[in-house]
Amino acid sequence: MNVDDLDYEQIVAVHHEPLYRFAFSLAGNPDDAAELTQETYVRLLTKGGQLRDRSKVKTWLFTTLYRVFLGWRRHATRFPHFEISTMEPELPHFTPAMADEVDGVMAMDTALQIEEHFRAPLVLYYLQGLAYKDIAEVLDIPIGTVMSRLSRGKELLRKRLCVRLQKSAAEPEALDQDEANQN
Amino acid sequence: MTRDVAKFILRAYRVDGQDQSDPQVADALEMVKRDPELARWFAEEQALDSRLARSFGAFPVPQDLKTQLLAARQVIVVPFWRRHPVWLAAAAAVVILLGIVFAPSPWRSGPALAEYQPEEILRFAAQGPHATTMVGSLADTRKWLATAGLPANLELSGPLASLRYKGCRTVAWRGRTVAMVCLFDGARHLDLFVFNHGSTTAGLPGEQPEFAQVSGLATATWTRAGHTYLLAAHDAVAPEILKRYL
Repeated sequence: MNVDDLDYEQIVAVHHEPLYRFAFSLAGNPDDAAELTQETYVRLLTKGGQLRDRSKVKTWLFTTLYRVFLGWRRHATRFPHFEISTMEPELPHFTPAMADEVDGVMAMDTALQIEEHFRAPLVLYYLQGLAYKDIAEVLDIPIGTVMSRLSRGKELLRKRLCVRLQKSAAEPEALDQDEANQN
Repeated sequence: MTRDVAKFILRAYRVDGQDQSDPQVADALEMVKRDPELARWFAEEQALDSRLARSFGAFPVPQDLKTQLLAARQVIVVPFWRRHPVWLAAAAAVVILLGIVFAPSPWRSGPALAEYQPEEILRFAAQGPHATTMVGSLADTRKWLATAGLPANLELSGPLASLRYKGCRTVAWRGRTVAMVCLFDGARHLDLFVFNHGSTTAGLPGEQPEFAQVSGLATATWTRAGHTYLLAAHDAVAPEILKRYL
């Protein structure tokens, strides 16, 4: 398939937002996320001939973006590496009602606190609804590893969201206490 | 299949039901029908996943990103030997390095060395487009140089060679064909021009890089193995900052 045969506008329209969000989850800042997305579309235009099956466009784009990111990371130290403590505090059960309080920025910001090997499959799962087999192809890891990382990644994400929500709930009280002390 | 194994499998199950036909998932779903506790767990899992998927999907995307992606394609000049259109948005926004590779010997009727004027070459960096062909690496750049009939045996320092190579073009300067390469180091865009200076060297930089501010650009120029290189940064930095690349 020649890239000329692809409806470039349609591919941009359908995939650029989830690609950007995936890029952000890897890079952690908007400038690099935008550039990763742009670089991915450059490669579609310049190397789209490698794409034999049009139905694979989505997987190809995510795979390409991830490989571009890995290539950049080898030559740069700008991508922060987040460590998560293995000691998790005792947390309440994360409920659907609590999930309703999570907006896009909080979800992404929290995901960025999780180690990348858990974060990448997790974001692909939530963002674009990629099947675990497709995630394995994008990240070039075994299917069993994807399932294991999804399972653990979900657990980590929910714990981190619990912490965030608890802090959000506690901050107004702390502010009230400060004001009371001042008076 | 134990309940824990079923949970492990179902954590990879997508909320839109697309995985129902997957054999592993199908077995786990069968178990859900028979195990009320597992069914309760699964219902909550699905509720959480659908909400979190909605949250991630609401993460804001820059409003102009789509426009940039679509518009960038229009400014790319497609080389005739490559039928695939190329995109050049990022390169149009920045600039950086100059390298001029002169044409093969029959074309080497360029300026006398005393006529070497870096500001004339740098003008290309200010005018754009900065590339007509997108590349992804130094290896790609060398291939492109060879394809364009230009010398590909660039001798670059380690830091310069390890930058991200984003695009190339040729520019005509005083009858010579000069290679212009657009680079990025993760924070700064650079243009590199490379040209073959021919048999004389008067007026051209030596092997030790010379740093200067030319036409508002930080520049470094040097000559090595028959090629003269001009590297330029466009973000109003002191020329000495370019030492890190040389």
